[in-house]
Amino acid sequence: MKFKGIFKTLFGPDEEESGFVGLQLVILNSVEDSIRERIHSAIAAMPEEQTAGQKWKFYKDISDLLLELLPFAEYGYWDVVDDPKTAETEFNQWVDDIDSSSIDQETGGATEDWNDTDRIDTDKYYIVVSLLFLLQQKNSFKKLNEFADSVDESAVNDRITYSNLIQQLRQLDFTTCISDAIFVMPGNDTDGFSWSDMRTEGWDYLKPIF
Amino acid sequence: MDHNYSVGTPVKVKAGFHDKETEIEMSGWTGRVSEVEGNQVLVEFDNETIEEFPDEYVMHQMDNERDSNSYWFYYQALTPFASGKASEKTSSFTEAKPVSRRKALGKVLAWTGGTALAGYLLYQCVSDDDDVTVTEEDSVGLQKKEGWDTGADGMKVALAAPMSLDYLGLPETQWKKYKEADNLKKVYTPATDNFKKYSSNSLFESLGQKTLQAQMKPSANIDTKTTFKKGLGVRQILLDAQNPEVNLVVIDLPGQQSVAVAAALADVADVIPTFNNWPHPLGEVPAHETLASSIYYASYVDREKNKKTTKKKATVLALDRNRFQSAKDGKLTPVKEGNFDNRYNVDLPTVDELKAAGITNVVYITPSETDIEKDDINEEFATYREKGIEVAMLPISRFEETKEQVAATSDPKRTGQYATNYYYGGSPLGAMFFFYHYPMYRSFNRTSIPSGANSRFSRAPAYTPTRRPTSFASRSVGGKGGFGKSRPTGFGKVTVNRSMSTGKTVGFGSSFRSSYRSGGGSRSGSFGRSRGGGFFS
Repeated sequence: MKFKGIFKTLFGPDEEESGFVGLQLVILNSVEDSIRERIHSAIAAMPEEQTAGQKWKFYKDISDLLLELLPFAEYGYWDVVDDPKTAETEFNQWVDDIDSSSIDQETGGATEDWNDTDRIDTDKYYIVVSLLFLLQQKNSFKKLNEFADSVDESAVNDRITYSNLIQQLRQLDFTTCISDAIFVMPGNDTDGFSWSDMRTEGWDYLKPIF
Repeated sequence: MDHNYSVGTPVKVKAGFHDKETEIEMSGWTGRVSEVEGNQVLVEFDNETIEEFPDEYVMHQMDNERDSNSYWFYYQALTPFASGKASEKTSSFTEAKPVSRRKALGKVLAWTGGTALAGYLLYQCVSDDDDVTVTEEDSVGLQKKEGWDTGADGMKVALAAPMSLDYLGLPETQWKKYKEADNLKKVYTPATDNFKKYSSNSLFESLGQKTLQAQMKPSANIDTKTTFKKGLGVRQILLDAQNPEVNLVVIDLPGQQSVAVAAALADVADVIPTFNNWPHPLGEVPAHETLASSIYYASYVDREKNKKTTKKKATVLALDRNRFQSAKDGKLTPVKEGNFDNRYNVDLPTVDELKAAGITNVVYITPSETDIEKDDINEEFATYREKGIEVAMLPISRFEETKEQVAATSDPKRTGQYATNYYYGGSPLGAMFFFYHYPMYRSFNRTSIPSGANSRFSRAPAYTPTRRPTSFASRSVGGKGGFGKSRPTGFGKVTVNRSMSTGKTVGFGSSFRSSYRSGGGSRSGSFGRSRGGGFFS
């Protein structure tokens, strides 16, 4: 099991206020077996230390991949928080919640409760990709925030909205990035979530993508 | 300065221009001038250009802590983009000064701060696509400042049923005085100071706008006229009641109908209007209809409210049920695309204020039995009930028509003819059941139902206001019973696109953005806690 954790902060938070962007997609893996490998490969290719430019390129490539896989995404969730008082908390909350569900990074082994005997069914259809950013509230975040403002309530879970959001992520200015994180669950090359898994407690915030 | 570029000018990079550091060709890149310093101009690139940036360019700029989305050029490297057809000679001037992110932003802020928006600016940024600044402002505040039809200059409001005569049949020469803001305010100003702070004359004040005033006429469609007659049925009940003063009546019907019922009660009640918005040609709330209805009934109200009476009057709050829309889950319905957000919410008196005024019950007049209280007053109604103030629903639909011969005493010219009147339950006898269904009212005249009398209704609607999640709940800032509750984010506000060059408003959009983001904050701290699984990052 691999863990590279949250990317180290390249630029510490300055006096600017921060904003949060979070995206989570549940992608049907069974359609194309190579999906997980492609995501893992992209992430694995990322160096430990990155310049802002390299980080932009990395997320641009990830975004392009997600755009390509978007037709296979069945559930999702996204949020943009422009309240500087809660943005950092929101980022940390997302990280903590995802992290708490992930495996022990020291041992690299599976958690005790993650084995097929405990599961309702053993189908491994879905993988979950999460992108999180804590950004200074400068131009690129403002632009993304304007996009979020422009989304009609009825279109929040539309596939085109997710597509537009990911397009916005391609344009993030990483010189203003305070923290960022990417997670793919499950983290091994063979496992996956079943339809039943996605309906267990803890995933109820996810919305079908139309 | 040897050029005419100014802030907002759309420009295009001339053919052959290269970034000196990366050698990346920037020919044809387009954007707008955001700052000018002598012979150099800062260009903010537009979306089309940004999307086509070469990776090497963006990475280089970011690695040098520069904003890749803007660039300092000498003016000779640029050509105006709007004219577009200007010859694009290869620039011989290839020096350019890359801009550092920090420097660029600081200057942009200095520039935007220089526009004349101080005092009501909530946020401001620069649109990438247009020569505009974008601000978020209070809707009525903006209209007062820039005109009732701001952003839609020249457009007119469309009245559903404009009339040349008002309710009393008076011609324009006699009703036009009610198109004066001060006169209309006076007509609808409550006679007493009871609950004065809950009164709003904002709608009537909009007639101070001459171009709006010129468009306004009395208006009442068939629904409004019918509702007025139903209001007369309510009036009869208040006349028959011994104790109208202990019951607060809250009329919550579509604005023009709310005015109609309020007008019908003019001589038996002290009516408090709560219409706290202005009309707009593209208004989300059809406030112009409420205003036109107010003009239609103004001469009648003016006459009736000043009649001498020894009978105690009821206190009536008139609300516009169209003041906003929300879904069953309590989320506000966003303003329709292109509409002007003139929504608003109302506050109601606190329990202590009601008790101090001797009021022990609230009668809530709704369109029908399925129309429960609106989200903005749910908290007040629930509190009333919890604190011993009974709240009863009175659907106006329960006032049904009946044909009656006109009595000589009421209209000698029509004696013997049949008129359509509206009574609770559809008949004068049925109206007696009202006092059994609504025991907070005590009848003067009748203590028992005559044998043979029937009512279509067996009881008042089963209605118990219950606290529920709304966009307004738990937002009270005044502490007591919800007075002073704040509006949800963006509610009743508009984002204003203002021309940089002319300063005029050129468009707007809704600022509403409360909990409609995906998931709506319902994660409950259990994000992603499915069992096990790995992760990869």
